[in-house]
Amino acid sequence: MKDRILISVRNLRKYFPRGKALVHAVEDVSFNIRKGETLGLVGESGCGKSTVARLILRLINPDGGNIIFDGIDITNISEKALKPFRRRMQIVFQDPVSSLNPQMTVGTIIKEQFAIHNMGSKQEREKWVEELLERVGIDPNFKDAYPHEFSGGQQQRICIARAIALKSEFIVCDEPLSALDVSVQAQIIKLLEELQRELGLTYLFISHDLAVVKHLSNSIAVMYLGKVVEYAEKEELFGNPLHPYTITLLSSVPSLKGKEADVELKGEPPNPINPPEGCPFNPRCPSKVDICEREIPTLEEVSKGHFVACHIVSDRR
Amino acid sequence: MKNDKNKKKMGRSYWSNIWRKFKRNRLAVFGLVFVVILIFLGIFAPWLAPYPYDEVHYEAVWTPPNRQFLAGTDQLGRDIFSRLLYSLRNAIFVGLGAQAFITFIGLTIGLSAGFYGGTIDNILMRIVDIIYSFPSYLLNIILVLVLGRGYFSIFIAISATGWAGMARLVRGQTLSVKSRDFVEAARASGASNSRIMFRYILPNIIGPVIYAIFSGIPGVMLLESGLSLIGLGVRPPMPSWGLMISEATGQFLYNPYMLLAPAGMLVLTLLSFNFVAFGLRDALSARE
Amino acid sequence: MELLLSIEDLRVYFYRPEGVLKAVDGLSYRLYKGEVLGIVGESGSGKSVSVLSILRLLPANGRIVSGSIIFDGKDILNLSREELRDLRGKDIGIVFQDPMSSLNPVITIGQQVMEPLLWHNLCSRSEAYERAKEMLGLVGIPLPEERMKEYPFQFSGGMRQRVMIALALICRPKLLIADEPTTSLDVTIQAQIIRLLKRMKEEFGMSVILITHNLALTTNFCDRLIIMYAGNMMETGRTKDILYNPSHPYTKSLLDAVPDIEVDKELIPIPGTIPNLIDPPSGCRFHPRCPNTMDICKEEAPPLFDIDTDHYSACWLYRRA
Ligand SMILES: Nc1ncnc2c1ncn2[C@@H]1O[C@H](COP(=O)(O)OP(=O)(O)OP(=O)(O)O)[C@@H](O)[C@H]1O
Ligand SMILES: Nc1ncnc2c1ncn2[C@@H]1O[C@H](COP(=O)(O)OP(=O)(O)OP(=O)(O)O)[C@@H](O)[C@H]1O
Ligand SMILES: [Mg+2]
Ligand SMILES: [Mg+2]
Repeated sequence: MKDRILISVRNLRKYFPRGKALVHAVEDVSFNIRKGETLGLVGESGCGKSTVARLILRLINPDGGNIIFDGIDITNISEKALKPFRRRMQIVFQDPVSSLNPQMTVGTIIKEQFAIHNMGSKQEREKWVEELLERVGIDPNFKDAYPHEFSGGQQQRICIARAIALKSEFIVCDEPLSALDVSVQAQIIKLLEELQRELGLTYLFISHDLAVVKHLSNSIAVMYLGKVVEYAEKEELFGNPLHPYTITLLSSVPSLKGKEADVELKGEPPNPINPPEGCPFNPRCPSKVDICEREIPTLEEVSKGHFVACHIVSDRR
Repeated sequence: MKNDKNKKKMGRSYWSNIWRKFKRNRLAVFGLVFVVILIFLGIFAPWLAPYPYDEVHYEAVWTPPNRQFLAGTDQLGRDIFSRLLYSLRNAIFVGLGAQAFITFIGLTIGLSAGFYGGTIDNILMRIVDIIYSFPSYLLNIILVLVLGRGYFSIFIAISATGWAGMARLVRGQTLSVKSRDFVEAARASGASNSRIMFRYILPNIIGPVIYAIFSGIPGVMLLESGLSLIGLGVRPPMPSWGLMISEATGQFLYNPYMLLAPAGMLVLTLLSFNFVAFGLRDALSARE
Repeated sequence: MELLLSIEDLRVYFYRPEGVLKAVDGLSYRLYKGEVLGIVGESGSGKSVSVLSILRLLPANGRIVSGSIIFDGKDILNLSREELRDLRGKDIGIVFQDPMSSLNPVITIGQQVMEPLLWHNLCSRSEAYERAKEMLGLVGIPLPEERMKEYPFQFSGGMRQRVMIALALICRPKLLIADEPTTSLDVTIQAQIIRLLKRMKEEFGMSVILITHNLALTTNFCDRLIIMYAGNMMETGRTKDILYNPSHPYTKSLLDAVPDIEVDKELIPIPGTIPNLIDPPSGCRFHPRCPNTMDICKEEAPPLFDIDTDHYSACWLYRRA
């Protein structure tokens, strides 16, 4: 049970038109998420994390690759055939203010989920709403209040209540903490952890805060310019990072323990409209060799469960 | 939220907040009171007017205001007060009617274009651009000339050009609401397109639309008066402020009341609607 | 050490339709020459307002209702317009969080970096050009001469922040204020910017105030910290003392609530939410969320109690019997 793969993403690709050019938002992304576990997705701003999330939920259609949910390929199925799957996956966004319809009470917002899927009677729905609010730590007496009457942390709790309302198994969290006060972030982390334990939820957790990702995830995928460049179990990735980008990323994270960053990332972030030839990281890579400018490295398994897309690492073996 | 003081405020909706802010604005409230009174007067004009609008009193032409003729009489001895009320009735019907029509068309087209995007959007917006590229007053005149004088033609002429602005506004609002996360969340939950349009997008764009309706009504009324002023509006003896103003201009030095009454009514009506519109705009924009 | 800035009992209130918002309510601190001071606090704790007051740059509805600010011997609250203008940009440089909205989109980068020198009549145009070029090179803009001809939109976020730093430092200020200079940037860029600030500090020897909500960012840079909460100073002391020996329950709770990349620990959230500053809690503003609340905490705001050398805490727990 524990090792069953719930989500599998294979060579996902998505380009957006911008003027005459194409933004290579997601170039080649593959990973698996096991049931009941959390995959942390990290990478710099604009590297395509949110696009991956929206692709998995089929909010936008991919230009290539496959999304396999619980053994079924949902990449190309119709919206109608997708509806049962929509019930099983949900999303929590970064900005709780924009995530909640300002014209509906929080009770209605949650009830919408049941209405969309024709579940329960009026009384049952009412009861479920109260249970859900209670569960995420909102006084159910406030179910007739409007979103703007709550603080950011409480709004994010309401978003979480909506996400678990349909007993979904898989929840995408797209930077759910970024808009919250530091002291409130821990409350939400705790809530997400508890819910995962109780309900056996599977998370795709997107964040740029590596400390949080490390705290929450079982495995981690590092993205750079639309590609997964390294992907491993958490302990392995933090203990033995191999890709030069991962190494700089990890050493850039400030710590209360006061370690000094030892590797500095040079150069500027590349342009997704006109990505560099060869390895996307090569213009900024400290250990670049000739082949990096010519050939795109593929994601290879360098040790059990540890995948890296880097010529140098592959050669070293 | 924890303490009881805040609890009292809970459950206050978006609309009650707007209403609360609207009420703070004195001018807007005055405007609203006048608008209601004017609409009432307009609708009940046939019962309130002391005389029919076309009843001539040859014995009493150019009578200044007195007991019998509250606002005096014109060159044919018709009661100006009655004619004002009928003008108001016509202005209200044209203003509200055309605006309702404009709103309906504009909402439908703008919402579809913004929501579906792609080709539908392209086609609809090209049509809007074409209408926009004509001077609308000219287009109105042409339409009235083609359709013949009368309220119905004015109504059609005004609606035919007016919807484009509304469609553009609605499309823009739809696009901005569509990109909000709660719409994405609803789609991720499997909500149908019509559900998203009517429960998520429409309620969130209706505020600016109402503002546009109120601020558009004076324009429509002015247009009607403008057309009547140059002799393209209503067919006499049907009264209209524009017509009354044009009839009165030659008389201004001798019988100024003839001009002041319709001009005053026109200004009062336009200001009332505008004050409501400004109040709405402020109430809608100030978020707490 | 020579005193550069001293703030006594600063109170800054905002007048809003709903009431008076006490954004900063009784803040006192000192900054010495060559020192780096970190002001740490959550959103809305009054960090920005407290430093904007030093420059008298508050929005129209904000007012300094009491207190004194002495900068380099000058009483800031009694300066004339001209003297204030001299202060801003020349004696005190500031870097804001959002590098996009702080740069003028229609003026070239080079012109913008030169402008403070020209405004304050510090040198000729050609010298200003040379100095701007040198400064852009120093903050790590490659090929500064060419990039001076470009516009802000041609720069990435990190590069724009470097330009902002160059702009703030071009007149060799005595004090650099960096208000969350890295919040909108990626971690890798954040590390670059902090390192740059450190290098610049060593190069020019000015004092620095770094505002941040991320405690970890202060560890290798700040000499001293001020922990703020809801417009009040909760604790102040040397960085190491605060991070390894926190005394105030708020500081302790904050340290327990944020995950750290180097240590695996159980997170302990702080219950409740940040108070509304129009109607703040009585007594100590942290008392409704504090694990050690006593009766007195609800009634009286605590003064600063002495914990150790240079380490003070505004908490009744440290009242001497
Ligand atoms: N609808 C769209 N149309 C055009 N370009 C898009 C669209 N959505 C995203 N992009 C582009 O695709 C790239 C990846 O964007 P994405 O939002 O996935 O990044 P991200 O990793 O989530 O970044 P962040 O950390 O800032 O949220 C960016 O260059 C972005 O500008
Ligand atoms: N122009 C303003 N009008 C009214 N209130 C204001 C204004 N600017 C700031 N405030 C209020 O003053 C308080 C302190 O704001 P300040 O900007 O100093 O916080 P901060 O600590 O810098 O927070 P952040 O981390 O979000 O930048 C807040 O409660 C804020 O709402
Ligand atoms: Mg994103
Ligand atoms: Mg601030």
